[in-house]
Amino acid sequence: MLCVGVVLYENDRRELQRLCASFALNRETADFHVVWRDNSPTDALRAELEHLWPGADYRFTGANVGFGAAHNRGMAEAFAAPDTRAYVCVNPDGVLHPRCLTELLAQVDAVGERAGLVEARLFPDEHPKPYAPRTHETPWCSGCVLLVTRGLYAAVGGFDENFFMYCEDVDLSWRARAAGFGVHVAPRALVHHYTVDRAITPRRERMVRRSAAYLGHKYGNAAFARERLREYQELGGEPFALPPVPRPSAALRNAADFEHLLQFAEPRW
Amino acid sequence: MVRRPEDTAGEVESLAARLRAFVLARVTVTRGARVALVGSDALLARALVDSGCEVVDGAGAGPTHVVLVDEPAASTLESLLAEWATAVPGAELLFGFRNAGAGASLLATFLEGVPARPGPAEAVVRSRFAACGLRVQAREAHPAAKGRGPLPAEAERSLRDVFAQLRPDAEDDVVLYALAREADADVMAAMESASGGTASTALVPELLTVILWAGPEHRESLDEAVFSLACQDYRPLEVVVVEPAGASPPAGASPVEVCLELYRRIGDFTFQVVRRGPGEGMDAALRAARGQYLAFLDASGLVYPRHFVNLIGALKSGDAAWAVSRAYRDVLRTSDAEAYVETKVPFPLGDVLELEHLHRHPWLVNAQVIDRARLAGLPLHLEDPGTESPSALLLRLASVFEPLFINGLPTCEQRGPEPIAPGPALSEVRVLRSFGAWEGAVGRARNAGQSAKDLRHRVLDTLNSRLKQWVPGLHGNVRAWVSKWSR
Repeated sequence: MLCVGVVLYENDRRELQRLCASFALNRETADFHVVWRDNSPTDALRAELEHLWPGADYRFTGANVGFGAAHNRGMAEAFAAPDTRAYVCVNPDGVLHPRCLTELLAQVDAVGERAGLVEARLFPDEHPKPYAPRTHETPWCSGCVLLVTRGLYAAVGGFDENFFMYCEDVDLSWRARAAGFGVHVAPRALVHHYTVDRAITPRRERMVRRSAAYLGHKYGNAAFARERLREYQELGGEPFALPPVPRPSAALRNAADFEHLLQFAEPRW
Repeated sequence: MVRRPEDTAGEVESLAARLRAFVLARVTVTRGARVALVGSDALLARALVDSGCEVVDGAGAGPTHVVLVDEPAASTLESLLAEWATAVPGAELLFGFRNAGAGASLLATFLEGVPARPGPAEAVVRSRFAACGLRVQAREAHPAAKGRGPLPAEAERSLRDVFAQLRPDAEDDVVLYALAREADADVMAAMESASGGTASTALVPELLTVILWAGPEHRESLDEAVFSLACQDYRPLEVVVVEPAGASPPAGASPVEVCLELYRRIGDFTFQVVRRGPGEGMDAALRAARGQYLAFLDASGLVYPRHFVNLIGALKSGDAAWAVSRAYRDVLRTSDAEAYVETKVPFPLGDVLELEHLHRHPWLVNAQVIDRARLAGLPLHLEDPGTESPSALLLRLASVFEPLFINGLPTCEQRGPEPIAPGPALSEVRVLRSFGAWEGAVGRARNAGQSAKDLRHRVLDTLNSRLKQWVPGLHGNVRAWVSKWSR
């Protein structure tokens, strides 16, 4: 059984309509259950979802707990059920290709026991981070449509909730690799998701750098953390204290890549 | 030089002679041909008999061929064809006319006051056949001789070439057709419904029609092309898919139709599938397209969500007839039958869209939107891929309508190789622009050359400084050597 988790925050009707339509198409080839966790200030989306996805398993979190924390609740609940094979994080502004979930599972099967994370390939403008053309291994997985296996969750847990937004997918990917799990792209599993022309907002830029600073701090790259903090402060970010973290193991340090700044891997273009 | 009446009479005689040759070539391949002549042509009748054909009188005699001997008037051609196609459904209809839309004829009217030709214009004739349930079996076209008008040869050539760029059939001075009735076509009914004319050909305001070529070479990528179309933001949207006709029509819904129906469940749009024989698909799709805005997409291509929103928004903000965006070309590696994108290269480069870009990158036909309401009724023509380079259409448009270039990030993607069919040589293209526009183009070319020269100088200066700093001995030797050889 596959559990799909969608974390909502004031999403518009058209976005949800397209996502639900794509879920309906995926139903024709894959068996899965969707849980909708709503981080919005009110539960206004409940009625909307009931209309678009009758019988929707809707959970109002009552506060904006963040992407990682909301999905962690979803994973804890999903993996508590013994027949849950994997949990898939799905961004509400994505549109899944009709065979997306089937192809994610096919990639898990191709990798085998050590499958940890499998991401859907972003479409139409693919993410420039590389992946091995034959094995589909990739340095890190994007959280837009991200499958987490039971095995990985049992070994390393879910997202680090010190990341409110951004970089939690990179962190989970590096932890997965450090623990010996596979991190792969499923090239045939497509998700329509395009953010290149989204307005660059100061808030977003601050959030990215705040999370990146914590990532550098967590993986022992002080220079990277310092530089991202400086940028964060120049963007008007409120001072904050980086949480204490244990010294990263050699495996974690080896998995990390700060050479390519916020790309975290050498981009193909 | 004023056109004389005998010049026009000569044209009529020339048409008659060409029609005779055309008819004889068609009928003599049919054993036992029975030919009905509508009108009188003693020469043709004798030639038919001499070649072993039977000349019969009227539909009742069961002719295999019907020849409209006299040049039909524009107003009566359709009814004549419909009448004979209905009376003798199995017969081939043969006729010819002097194209009223031929460039040479238009120039003669404009410059010499020669009366406009009474016959039909090829553009109108051709567009009516399908609507009337008639199929073109054969077509022959003959250009007008050059240099018979009052203009200097080069000026006449320039003007006629511009006409031909706008309408390829503008060089077809005399046109001959052999038509047959489509199986099960009710020609009279089709004519009556088609004769409403403007209602069926009016553009639907705001509607975007995307003509999608789904040739067999793109079967694998069609799914993703349609997925990208369904998810892009512009509405209302109509998709006209051109599927080259195979040996036999599919039973039930074709894979193309299944794909379109599937994605309609995600994004709202209407669609139709056009199936025609080789070389006829794209033109048929153009006739079927209802939208004010027109775009093309090869099934190997993808569009990003705001691609059409940006292009149409740009058109609405000005008065250009068409707009072009930048695109990505994928450099692909195939591994285990899977395509891997090694890198993406944006094209065209630069802040300004030059004609040379349209020639070098014919795929840009997939990166543009045309506002057909601004083409002044100019009909579009596009050959099926592989037959003619799409740059022919781009350059034809650019020859009169300067495109608007969306100079930003690429918003569509080419996943296949550049089309192989060569486009018209750029040196042969005639373009109407103000002198100021040409001065601007020359200025940009000069600046680009100067920038390249400056860059070379800067690189050499930097190299010189570094060598002197790091390896002064070597620098001295190189300098001495260069001095020696430059003396």
